[in-house]
Amino acid sequence: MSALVKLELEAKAFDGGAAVLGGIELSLDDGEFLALLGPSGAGKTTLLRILARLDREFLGRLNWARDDLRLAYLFQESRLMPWLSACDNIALVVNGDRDRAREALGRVGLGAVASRYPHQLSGGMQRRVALARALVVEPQLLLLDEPFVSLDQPAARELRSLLLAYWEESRPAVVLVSHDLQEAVSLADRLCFLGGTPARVVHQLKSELGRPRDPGAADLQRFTESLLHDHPDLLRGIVSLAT
Amino acid sequence: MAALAQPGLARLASLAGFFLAWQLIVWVAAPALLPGPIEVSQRLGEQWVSGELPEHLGITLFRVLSSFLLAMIAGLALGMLLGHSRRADLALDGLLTVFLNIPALVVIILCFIWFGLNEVAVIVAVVLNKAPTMTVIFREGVRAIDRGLLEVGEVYRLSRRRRFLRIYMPQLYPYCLAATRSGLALVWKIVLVVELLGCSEGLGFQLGVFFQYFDITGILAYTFAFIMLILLIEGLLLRPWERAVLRWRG
Repeated sequence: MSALVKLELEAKAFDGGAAVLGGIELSLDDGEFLALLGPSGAGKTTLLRILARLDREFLGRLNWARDDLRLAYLFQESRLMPWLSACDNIALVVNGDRDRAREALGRVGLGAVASRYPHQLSGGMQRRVALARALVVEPQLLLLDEPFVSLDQPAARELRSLLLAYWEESRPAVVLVSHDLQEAVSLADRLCFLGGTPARVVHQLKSELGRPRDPGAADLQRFTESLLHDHPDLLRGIVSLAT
Repeated sequence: MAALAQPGLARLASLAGFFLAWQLIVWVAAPALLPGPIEVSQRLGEQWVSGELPEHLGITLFRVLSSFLLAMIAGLALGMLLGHSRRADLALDGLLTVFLNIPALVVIILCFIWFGLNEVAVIVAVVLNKAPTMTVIFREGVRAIDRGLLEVGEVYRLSRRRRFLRIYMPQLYPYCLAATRSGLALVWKIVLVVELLGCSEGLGFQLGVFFQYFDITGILAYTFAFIMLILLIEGLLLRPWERAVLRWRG
């Protein structure tokens, strides 16, 4: 099976500065759930933008299996149009189809506030509208940039379960950018750790954990602990060679 | 007094108070050079019925609207160019400052000398006077555009047309509104000066004629006719447009 997305990055720098990303090879299969982890400033978002073709100024090659790949991107901010209602924000990406937009809002539990403007919604609700906008296009590739950051616990949990429910049902390929190991382990099948300057993939592993996963479950804890035991500084982008 | 809390009523009351005070002053002091509102409105009625006022008003209105539209389009195009291209901004910014500061009268006189006493000269003179300020407004608008929102359009494969109309332009609408507000008020004042200097019809020309005959009633009658027209445009076009554009701000 050929990969859905294949990146052979040689280097990425901004405006003639020093490279922020070095040689990175990354390929993603249909239906695969990949988590990108690393310290902040490691270039995770930059890498995600390259995968999305939002940033084309890099050395190397990016291959999408199809040029008309249906893409969805959940940005760190909700990025809703402030002058459009929740419903119209979603309709915007499906050619103005309000029925589909309302249905998508209903699925994230926001059917009742379809006519409200973004500034009339809480931060968590705005994030859910953005998720509904991402899912309404039925993406084949779903890119998530720290989707749960700055949300309170219940809101984050709810968003996570909505996302997982969609993934179980439709199996898009997902790239999740995160700095939270627990979260990444509970969601992804493959973990990819970035580190160093310029950043490279310093460690990569598959998780064989079954689903559904409970973030508090013993096998999940064991997996995380043994990973951190082998590489205590992994989240800072440093791999121990002594193991 | 509670009724005055309504904006419409308050507006009406202040206008009525103004006219009442004016008429009272005329009755009490009987100044030689200030006709009262009753006299002015009678003249307004006569001029309207004779067909003279509608004709001049129509010509002036046409000049105002056409030059305003052209200035708006030119300002929008230039503002977009300067807002997006740093190189163009560097190259043209000095020139823009020059055009912003040429006195309106100079542009008007030069246009009449170069193009002759005709309609082209009138429109060009007004556009050259107004387009630079519009350019500045739209340049600010373009610089304030949120690129993150445009990326949303890119990710979700909106067509270029749709991205432009549904994500790009809505961010400029408040600036269009500001440009229209300040633009219309200024443009019609410039048009009157142009007409006074080099036209043989239109409000400005007619005001010049009244001035020569010291006909103050005529001057005031024409002024009120135009102010009423502007109020109509404001109430029937600008306010509804503003409400639609800024509705989301609540």
